[in-house]
Amino acid sequence: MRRRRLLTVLALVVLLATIGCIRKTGGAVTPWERVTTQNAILAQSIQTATQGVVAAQTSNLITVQQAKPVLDFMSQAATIQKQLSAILAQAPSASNIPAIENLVNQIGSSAQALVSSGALGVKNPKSQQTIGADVQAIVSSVNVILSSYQAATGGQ
Amino acid sequence: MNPALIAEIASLIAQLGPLGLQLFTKLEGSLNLGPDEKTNIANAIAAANAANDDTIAAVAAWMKANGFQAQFVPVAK
Repeated sequence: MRRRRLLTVLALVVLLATIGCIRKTGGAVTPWERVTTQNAILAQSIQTATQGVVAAQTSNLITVQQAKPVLDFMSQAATIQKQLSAILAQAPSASNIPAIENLVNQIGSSAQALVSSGALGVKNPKSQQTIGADVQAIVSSVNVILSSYQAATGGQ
Repeated sequence: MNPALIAEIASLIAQLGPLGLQLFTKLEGSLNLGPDEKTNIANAIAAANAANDDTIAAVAAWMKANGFQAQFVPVAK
């Protein structure tokens, strides 16, 4: 199960490591392609991190009570990201930046509430650090998406 | 992407078993775009939505299995 836990970390490390490494056949990657690809990678990383948390719980690495707030956060992040995806599916426009900032802030607030709740890994400081790093990476990644979108629109 | 980085990531994921391989495959696919922008955008959005739907469903199933009611977040406009 330590491997599953590592996977949740690796998922987000890979995300951060690969941003900026997108390749395209027959031309340069456009800013719109870049931000939607980053968005897809983040969604897949959240999905994989969620699978890791469920696996950690079913193997009794963490308790149901410890897993629940983490999984609540993952579901919230996925729900919010679906709204983000709906915006990103449209051609980039500076007028959408406030809405994206709002969604990014919601994920940040949920993450902050989760971390400060102390609900994670109280009995396992190493696990807490791992999941806390996952959560922070998700927040960092949505901020990267916001920055990429701002760059795509020329907004600030 | 830097080939050495790909090899390093592949090596790490190979040690993590099927889930790691699955993730790498998904990420690798996401990072290789075709020539048409609209198709690439549509594929990326579809991939994100599919992953998010799976996450939401997986959490809902876990909540149900453990006697909780799945929570949905109202998002301010």
